[in-house]
Amino acid sequence: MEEVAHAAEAVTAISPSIYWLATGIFVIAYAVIVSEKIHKTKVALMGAALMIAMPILTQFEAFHSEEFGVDYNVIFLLISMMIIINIMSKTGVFEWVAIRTAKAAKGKPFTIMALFAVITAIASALLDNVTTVLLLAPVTLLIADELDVDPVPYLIAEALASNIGGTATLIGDPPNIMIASKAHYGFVDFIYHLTPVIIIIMIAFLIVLKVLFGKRLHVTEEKRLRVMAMDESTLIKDTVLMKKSLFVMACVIIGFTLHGLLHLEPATIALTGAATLLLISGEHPHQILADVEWTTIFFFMGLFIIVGGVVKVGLIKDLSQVVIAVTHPTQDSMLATSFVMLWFSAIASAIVDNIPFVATMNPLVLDMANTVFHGGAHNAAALTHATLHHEVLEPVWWSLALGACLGGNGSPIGASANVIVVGMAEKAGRPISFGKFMAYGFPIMIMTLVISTVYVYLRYYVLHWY
Amino acid sequence: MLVKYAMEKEPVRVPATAPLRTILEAVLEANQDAAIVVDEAGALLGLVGIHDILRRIVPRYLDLDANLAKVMHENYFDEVFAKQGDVTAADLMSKGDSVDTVSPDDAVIKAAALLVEHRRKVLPVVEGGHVVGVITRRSVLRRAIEKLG
Repeated sequence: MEEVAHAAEAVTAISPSIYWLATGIFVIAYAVIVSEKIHKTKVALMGAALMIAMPILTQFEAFHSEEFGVDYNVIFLLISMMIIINIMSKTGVFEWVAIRTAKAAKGKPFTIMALFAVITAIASALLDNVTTVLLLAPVTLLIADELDVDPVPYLIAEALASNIGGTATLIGDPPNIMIASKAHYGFVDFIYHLTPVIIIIMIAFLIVLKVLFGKRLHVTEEKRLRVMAMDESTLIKDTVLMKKSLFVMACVIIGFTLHGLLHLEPATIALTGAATLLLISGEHPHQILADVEWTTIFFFMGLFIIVGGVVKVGLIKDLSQVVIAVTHPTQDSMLATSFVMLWFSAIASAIVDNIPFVATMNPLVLDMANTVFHGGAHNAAALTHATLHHEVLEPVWWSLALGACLGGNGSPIGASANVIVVGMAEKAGRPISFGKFMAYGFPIMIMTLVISTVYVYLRYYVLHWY
Repeated sequence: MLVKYAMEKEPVRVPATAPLRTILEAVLEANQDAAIVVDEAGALLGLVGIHDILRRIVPRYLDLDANLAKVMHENYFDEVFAKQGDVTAADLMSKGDSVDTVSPDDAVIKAAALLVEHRRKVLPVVEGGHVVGVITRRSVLRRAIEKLG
């Protein structure tokens, strides 16, 4: 109660100058991030520092408040998964799986493309998308080189599959981690609500790949046999470490599925896994921790504080009023809100990084729910489980996740995995132009959104399957 | 000591149009690590090191994951090398402005520092725009051994 009163007092005490100052910091920071003129982490940290120094937020709010500050659920989940994946990637297990898959495809070029898309999607659902494509792209280039086929369609297919697969789970893509933390959804909730539509989307994606490339890719018998002759067992660098890391990863996944029963947050489970693997791996923590993507982690921290600033001054509340005025959500239905959220999130995420977008949309959805269900009387950050998971609100959360994750396929800068694949292709001497990526990515994004729209409509508004 | 007393005065010089085979024959015969690419007037155009030649054969994706070389077929090197018949010095060379050079009157320590800090094996010695020699890791150490008595 004290926190509610404190929050209400903080909002009412905001002067117009502070409101516009916070809005200015937010708009300029996001504009500079989109322009890519200055590294996004520098911008996010500067924006965060200004929010505290001005002072729009107190340091206590920025560092410790659930409503305005850094979301440590997200931070520790990301760091912990990065540690586990860093250790696992040293073992050669990913390369082993990829070569094994190419051999299972009997060295046939289209079958390899389809199976690589599938393993990319599965790996992206369980790991992060960037790591998945970082590990798979070199193997793809090798296989394409040995088969003497153009690697570009393979690389683009993997980037797209990685964004599709990452959408399926809580840990698959950062927007989902952020949504899970704010809306208090668990690993199983994401499997229950998003995995079915992602399976449908993957099947459709594979059909499109078949139509596009099924008859275009041909190799000689000699080249095919080269792939079949590869000895993947030589790629495993450390069998003991591989077994340890696979065991810990399996325990973490099981822990995620049981975290409701265990009464532990996903971040706690991931942290326990990371700490255990660090302890039993025998690896020195210095290098493992140095390989954590600290620029991404600090980008998140900065963004949380910037968004906290505009939540505190009431900008997000005002934006949520706009969404309410346009989409007319009620306690009975949020159909229009769901569809607008799905498509708007996708288009926005194709143009800008989906992480700052979701960082902004999360409090906006909370505020909208607070207005619709409680007339704005509650603290939006302290809404009860019953409100957050109200069956009328649920489709909005899942639409946000689907839009933000799948929208990343719309352009080569829409998702980190795309940026990595384009960069690696260029390094390998097979550059992928902006237009070439868009030619595949944008229509695939539209297809996935149409499927998602039908899914959301049928599941939540026709079948009422919550 | 000055560079002019330590340098090799007869470096391998090739024109930009020299094919890979000619370059390789020349550097291997002279037991050198690089060929200096010069124009008709003897001005420096660039440098082809044996590293540049190997670099052309080793695919870039192995930079991302060197472990993958273990599964490549045994004739890969020969097959890719056999396709390099039309490659010339101009295709292989590091261009003149990216090549570290020294003057004959520079101190050897300056050359040694460049060889170590920039991980070079060969530095063209340039005077008045013309290549008058090269200084290599071996040539620096050959003179240094005299100081050991």
